[in-house]
Amino acid sequence: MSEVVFQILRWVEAFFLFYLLLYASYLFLSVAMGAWRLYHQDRMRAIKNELKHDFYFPVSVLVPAHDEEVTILDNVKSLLDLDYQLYEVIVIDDGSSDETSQVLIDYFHMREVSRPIRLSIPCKSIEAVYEAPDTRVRLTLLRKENGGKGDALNAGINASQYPYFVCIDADSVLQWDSLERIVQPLLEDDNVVAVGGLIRVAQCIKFNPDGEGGAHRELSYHLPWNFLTSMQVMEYDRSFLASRILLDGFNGNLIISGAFGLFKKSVVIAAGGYATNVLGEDMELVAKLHAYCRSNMERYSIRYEPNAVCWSQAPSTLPDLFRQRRRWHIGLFQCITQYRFMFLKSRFGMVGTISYLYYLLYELYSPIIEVAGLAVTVAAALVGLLNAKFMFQFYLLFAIYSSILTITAFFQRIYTQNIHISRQDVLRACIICLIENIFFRFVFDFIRLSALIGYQKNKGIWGTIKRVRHSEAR
Amino acid sequence: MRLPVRAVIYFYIFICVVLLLFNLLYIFRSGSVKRRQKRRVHRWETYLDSFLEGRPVWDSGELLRRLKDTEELIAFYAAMESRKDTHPEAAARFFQENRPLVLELAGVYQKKDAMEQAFFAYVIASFYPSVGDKGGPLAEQLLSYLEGSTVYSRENVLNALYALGSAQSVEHSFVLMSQRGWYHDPRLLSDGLTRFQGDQDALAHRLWKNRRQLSECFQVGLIRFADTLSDDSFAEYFLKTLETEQLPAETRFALVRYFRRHAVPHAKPVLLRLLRGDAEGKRDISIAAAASLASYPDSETRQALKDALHSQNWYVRQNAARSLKAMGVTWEEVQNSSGKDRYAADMLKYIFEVPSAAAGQKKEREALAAV
Repeated sequence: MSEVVFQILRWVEAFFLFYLLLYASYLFLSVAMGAWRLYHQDRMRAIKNELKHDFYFPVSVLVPAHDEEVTILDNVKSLLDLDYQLYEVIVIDDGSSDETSQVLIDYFHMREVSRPIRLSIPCKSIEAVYEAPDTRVRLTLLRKENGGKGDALNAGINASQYPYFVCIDADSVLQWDSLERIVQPLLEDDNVVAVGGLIRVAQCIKFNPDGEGGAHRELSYHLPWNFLTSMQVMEYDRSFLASRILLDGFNGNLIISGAFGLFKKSVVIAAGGYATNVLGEDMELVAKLHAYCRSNMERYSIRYEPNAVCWSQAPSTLPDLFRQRRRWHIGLFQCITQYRFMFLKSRFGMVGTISYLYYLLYELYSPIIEVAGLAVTVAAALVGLLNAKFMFQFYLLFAIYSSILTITAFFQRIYTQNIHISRQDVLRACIICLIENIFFRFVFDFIRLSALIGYQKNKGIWGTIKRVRHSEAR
Repeated sequence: MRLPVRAVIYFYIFICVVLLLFNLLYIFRSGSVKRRQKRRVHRWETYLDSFLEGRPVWDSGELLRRLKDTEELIAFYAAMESRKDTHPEAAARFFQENRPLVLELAGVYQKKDAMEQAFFAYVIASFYPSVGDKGGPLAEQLLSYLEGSTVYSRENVLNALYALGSAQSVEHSFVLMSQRGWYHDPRLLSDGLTRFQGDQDALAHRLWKNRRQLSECFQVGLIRFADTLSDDSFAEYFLKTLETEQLPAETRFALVRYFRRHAVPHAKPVLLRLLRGDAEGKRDISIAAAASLASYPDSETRQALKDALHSQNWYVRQNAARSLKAMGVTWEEVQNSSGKDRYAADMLKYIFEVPSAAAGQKKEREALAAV
């Protein structure tokens, strides 16, 4: 009997070691590739390898909003102040129970119009359309029956006038040059159907309220004092920036954050628009675009542009973070299961193998695998089969390894984006990423595991996160 | 099994520490690189001042030795930029007096990678005076940069060729890029062509003559460029082409849009025919025709646009309504045009109730016609 248990434990050990080594390799590759790409871009800018022009790709900026009366005005004002030649802003009030619409109507003196809207994609009934008469950029407000974020975006696509659209969360602020940056890949390649921007934590930035050159140009950068928020700054750099740059290397990104992404409208409409029955409508759309283009043998490219920056508020309390991550994980689960037909199919190339496998093993099932690993460790310790010293050393080594990679990714971004930070922030960054890698990954595992366990109960629940004005967010 | 695993982790940590150190060194080194570059720029400014005074401190051998180094070329560019306002003649004078040197440098940069070639082309585009087809040897060197190029180096090479003003070289580059199947955005092409330093009209005609050798993006870029020219000299060619040739969709769109700004009387029947083509299943081109017809205000056009309000295509209805409004048709005149067609009535009501675009939105109205 004990021989059987011993054999099983050996297999389990082999599996976990292999799992960790694969993850370590992925982390290393992503940070190394990220470093190479960011420095390469830095050099390219220095020696004028850019496509600077007085061109314009007309873009519709879609802002789905549900109960966003606190942040919506800041957000729309910043959107109207972007450094871009031709765009429109469409706010979609998705059945808010607060004063989201009224805040905008009052401030911009919007008036109701009888605008006909072409229903290219099905969406819930649009109750009223408002337009602002005096803004530099055309501003439209759609008030519609509540149908979820995907449905609101579909309504926005129907009302949009331009061939490309950008989606942005109502609690986010676009950097002044972000539209100019995010259209760059379109100039390079006409097969681009979607471009993801870089999401950064808004609490790091103090905006200039009345300064020269527009109200939302960044003034200073600091790590926020809130530990949870600072930790997410590190996590965003390691997981989102580095990882997405790596996947971008082979057109393998399976997600463009709903907080900031650009899409070619005709392809999105042809693919069926946003799904309305999932929580991760952003990931679902990207997976859908891969599936649509590859199934129809269309040449396409989904790109990631780290120079196009969007500042998004990160949750600053544990319950809010819990709700956000639970939603993300349920969305991931829905998407991965819905698009399982892509897995290991030659037609889907690297997307169906490397990208899918990564999201499956290291995102979706990682909480189960890691918690199971912990359970096995405890069990092994109880029956006296554990080499405690080896386990401790191994864990510490891995934590240090992850911390070094995280801090490397952080410094890369700080340097390549010409951000100046204080020595105090450097020290805090080092400490925070160590704590995150040693301790906090288990908190995330717990959150994600609970999302999977409570899937049936929570699969349709978006969850509300406390919003604050950007000026008060730090 | 344990030892190798630990060894692998140690190995990974070692690589990561190297990566981190590399990052830190890069950041610290960049400070000294910036200081060194500042000194280089200062030296070049001193040289340019001495050159303008007629007593250059470096001879052509020294210039060549220095400019072979990309960092020196970057400093040279920065110094030229700094003297652009105070001594606008400096760049032209420098390049005129150092033509053999620049030609030799072009050969040196030909052996470097695409990124550095792109920068050399950028410097030429920024400062080299227009020489027309006399700049043949330099243009030939620049054309050779297209081998193994990136989209950035192609753009910079094209800009350099526009600056040289050599129509023949521009034509060669377009044909070469078309033959290789390289995509270049039509917006970049049309905007770039407007910076051509030679006879733009002659260049446009020369390119149009060889349009069959050009791929779709170059054809569209050329038509958009022709659209920016003030005269209507392309109207005849474009009309004939539109009527007789099988063309890619984007090329046809661009041709129809041309007749919005260049309203020549004999284009009207063609545009009307295209508008009515809606019924024959050619709806896409009807959208552009409905927008362009705004520039042909007469009763026949008005009637055709009123008929187009009943089109099955949403965008045809929208553009037809917009064109009617742009032609000065009043609400009283059109409100009965929709008849029992609710879609037409909705579109008319919306377009006519919205006040004319505010100053900042005028560009948008133009663009909408083009989308």
